[in-house]
Amino acid sequence: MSQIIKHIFGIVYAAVIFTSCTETIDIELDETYTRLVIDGQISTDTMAHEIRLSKSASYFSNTEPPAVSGAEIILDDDQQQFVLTEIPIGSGQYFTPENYFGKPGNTYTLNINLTEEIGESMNYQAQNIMATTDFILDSIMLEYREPFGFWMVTLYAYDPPTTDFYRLDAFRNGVILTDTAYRTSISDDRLFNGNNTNGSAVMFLYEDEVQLGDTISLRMAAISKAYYEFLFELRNESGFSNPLFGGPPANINSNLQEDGLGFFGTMKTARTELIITEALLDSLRN
Amino acid sequence: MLFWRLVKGFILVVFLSFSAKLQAEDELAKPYITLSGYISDDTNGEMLIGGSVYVAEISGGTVTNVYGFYSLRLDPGTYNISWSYIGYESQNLSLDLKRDTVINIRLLPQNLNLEEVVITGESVTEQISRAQMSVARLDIKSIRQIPAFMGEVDVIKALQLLPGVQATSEGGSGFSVRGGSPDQNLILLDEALVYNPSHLLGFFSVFNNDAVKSVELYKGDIPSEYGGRLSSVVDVRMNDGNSQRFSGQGGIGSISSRLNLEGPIQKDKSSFMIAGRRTYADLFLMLSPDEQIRDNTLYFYDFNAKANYIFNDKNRLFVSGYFGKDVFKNANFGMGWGNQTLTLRWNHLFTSKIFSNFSLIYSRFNYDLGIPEGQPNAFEWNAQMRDYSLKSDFTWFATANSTLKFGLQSTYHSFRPGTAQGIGEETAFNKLEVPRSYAIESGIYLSNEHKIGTRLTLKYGVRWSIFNNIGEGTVYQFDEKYEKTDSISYPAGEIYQTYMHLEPRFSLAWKLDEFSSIKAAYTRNVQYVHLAQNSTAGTPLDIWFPSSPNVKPQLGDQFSTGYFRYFPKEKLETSVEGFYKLNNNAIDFKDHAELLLNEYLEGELRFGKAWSYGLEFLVRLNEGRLNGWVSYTWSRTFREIPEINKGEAYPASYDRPHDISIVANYKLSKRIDLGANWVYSTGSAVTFPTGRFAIGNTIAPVYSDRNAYRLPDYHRLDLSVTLRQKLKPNRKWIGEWNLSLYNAYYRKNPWVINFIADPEQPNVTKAEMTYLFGIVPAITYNFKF
Repeated sequence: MSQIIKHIFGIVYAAVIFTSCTETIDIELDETYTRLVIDGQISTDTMAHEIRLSKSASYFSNTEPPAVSGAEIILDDDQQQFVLTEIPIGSGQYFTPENYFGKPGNTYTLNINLTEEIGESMNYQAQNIMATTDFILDSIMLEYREPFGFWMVTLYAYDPPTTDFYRLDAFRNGVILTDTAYRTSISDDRLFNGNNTNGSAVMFLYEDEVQLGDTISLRMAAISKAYYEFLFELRNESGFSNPLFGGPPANINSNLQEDGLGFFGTMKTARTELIITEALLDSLRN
Repeated sequence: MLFWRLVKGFILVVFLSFSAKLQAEDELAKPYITLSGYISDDTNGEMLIGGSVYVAEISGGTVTNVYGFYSLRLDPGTYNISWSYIGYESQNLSLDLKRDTVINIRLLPQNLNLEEVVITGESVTEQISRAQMSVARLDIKSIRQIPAFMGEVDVIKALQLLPGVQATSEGGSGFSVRGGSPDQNLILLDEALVYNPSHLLGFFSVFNNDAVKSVELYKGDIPSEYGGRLSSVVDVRMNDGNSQRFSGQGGIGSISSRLNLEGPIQKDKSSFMIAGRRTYADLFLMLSPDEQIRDNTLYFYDFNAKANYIFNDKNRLFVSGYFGKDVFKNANFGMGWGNQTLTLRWNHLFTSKIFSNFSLIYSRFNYDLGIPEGQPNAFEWNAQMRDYSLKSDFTWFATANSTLKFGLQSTYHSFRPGTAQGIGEETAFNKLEVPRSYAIESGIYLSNEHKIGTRLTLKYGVRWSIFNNIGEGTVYQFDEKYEKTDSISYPAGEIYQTYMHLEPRFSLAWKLDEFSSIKAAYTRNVQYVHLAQNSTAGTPLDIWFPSSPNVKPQLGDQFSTGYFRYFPKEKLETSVEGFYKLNNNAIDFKDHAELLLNEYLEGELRFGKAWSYGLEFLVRLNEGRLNGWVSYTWSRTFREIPEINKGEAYPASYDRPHDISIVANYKLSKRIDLGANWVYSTGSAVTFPTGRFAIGNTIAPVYSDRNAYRLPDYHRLDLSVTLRQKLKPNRKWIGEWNLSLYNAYYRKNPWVINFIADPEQPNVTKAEMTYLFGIVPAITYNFKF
């Protein structure tokens, strides 16, 4: 709901402030101390799950995030423990074996031992409990929004009466479309709790992302409250702010202990897809 | 409730018995007499507020109250009395007073006279010796002369030009007084509280200048009769309506038009006033090349209406109301909000020494927004706040040296913070409702302004304020992580929380000589209702919420002192005031707070303390060909809240150490006026990133300490020219053209600076600043008949 509101307010604000203007300026910023950054999730899919370690940098450093290589990352999933493999060496990307999958309700803990200190520590820890939400993903449909020129993805799913949080991503022919915090859709369940979503719009796709012959798929994942809050804060703080809405900037909370950045998340996933046939396109555009 | 009735009854009884006693005394041989009456404008019968009555023989006098009434106790004898008001020709009479006398004076406004006008310094002398400090009165004439944004003369924008008052955001109607937060200002329109005094996101205020008689701003030393907000009182009084003849005024401007009609219902006995205005900003949206913007409807309108009836010289009745609405909509979305107020007042003179006023007041602010039925995700969301108040105020002009004020007020608040639901048959949305709550806020006060000798005047008093939360209501319990653990429901009518505070108010003035004095004051104020607003500019969706078992009232203590000097030859008013304020139980919001439609709003609050201090300098020229003022304020304002900024003190976003306003109006000729104002202030305090990290393709910031950086300094020049039509002898219609230029030297003052990823180049970030206004010209035709 607040996503919709904020999107609409963008238009209100633009309409009212029709004399305003935006331009690039030069600003000098101080630099804060380096921190360790974690970015990765364990999901219920069977695949090599990726955990990426990097370092924070000065705000205008304008380079790829510096990778943290050679670290020993031990994954503990309540039943077993094993070390993740860095592939390729030097990339800062660490993987589970390809046949690994996560289970709802388990507690996933990462113990990280670095080869050199970052932020005065060589050892970090991150933990997340995978959600057990019993949701049902039925299907999706697309709706073309004429004046705006984009597609709305509408969702048919069921949310159980528990308190739940979701993350939704769209893929086109297996390639992710929602690859930034702004596009990934996240939601709590206050509006649907215990009900079907009945075709509510959950995200938008650009016109050129939906072409004849494409397979558009939606991955719906139940996530923990902490991971939801992280994604929510990430979106707010990496986007535009204006003095009308939203509070003062604040650091995005992290579950990487102590004094780390980023989030180690878990997802209970389900997928559905829509094949764009000629018949479908005709019916949607009319 | 019974308790209240008893208290009221008690006060009434005490007071009636005094009045009976005084009546009885009047029958006996009197050692003194009372001179009383009303001062009004001869051309339209408007009562003049703060008019001066000066008696040469006692080197003193009094001023008229908000209803234009004065009362002075004298020994029988012969006196030279002068009645005056700035901008009007004074009247002087030599009178032999043997018994109580009522003299109602009508003053003529001064002609557009370019010669030196003889000003009796008496009204200024009155101000010098009165113990009231930290107050500024703006009359409509001076507000009109200030170059106006979009040609819309605006009361709140004029207040933002005074020392000690800062706008919180460019073009907005939010303001901070002496470092207080924008929700700490008590804004009253004919005694009704206005919750959201802004139109169009704050670019205009709800006060239609044509309907306003005067505005008084108390920045400190808030008199005992006001309570409920910590930092200031903005007391706006509407015109009563021309009681002499039917007249009107209005204007047609580039962004809005207005019309005011007033006249007698019965000459000298009753009159009415009605004023309305509407903007048509949406016409300009139609010029936009962007189709999305063209499709929008955006306007506001408002009405002010007032009527009064003078029953006899002891009884007057007033009814006043305001109704305004802002509308924004297009095919996919609609939003509307507005205030409504209604006040019914009865002035009653028990004797010529006891003036009283009884009021019934209703105030409402509401908003609704949504996506219309038939659209995907159709929903509606609305909220409202309502107040019902009873108020009684008494002024007893007891002796020549002592004026007592006392009274009581009780307000019933009804909060409906937000209800949202899907609409249409196919809606998937559940209903979300933030629980309603109700409260009663009351105050009883007593104060005395006491003149001791020829130099010292003391004003001392106390306000006893009481706040009750009354059912139906739901109170949530929170654990130490601010997660909701439990809830308790209370049935209708049950009082489940009571807060009581004594608010002493004390000030003194020490007259150094006829034209200068030193003043000092200490006041305590308590605030029971707070605004959930964590953005700098604020929106109409921000809601007010009451104190409760989880939220203690905010307490404010202010110490102030000042030196005042009037230079009679130059007619220059100068002052320097220093203040220190401390706010306990200050409220701020946690990082990433969600304030909209949040049932557990109280879990987003964090409590601590706030403090501010500063020095204000003012030089003001009220009369003559060139008039205006120069003000400079140096001030700091800080907060310290555990869990925000790691518990370390941080400056408020509107902490702007230097603030300069220069306002000037020059009468070039009989028909041409030039106006200019120049403002300068240190940039707002902001939080900038000092590092970054990557999550997938998203670049995320790492921030500095809260408000550790500054936006570039803000400054701006506005100019205006007013050209009046030639005055013809029998012509009733007076017209004038007004051209204004906002931001005349096109300073790009940043409204916000954003740090974002460059959409063209991966891994590159840049800083972008958005400024709201380039040069904005406006043209308005104003008329009067």
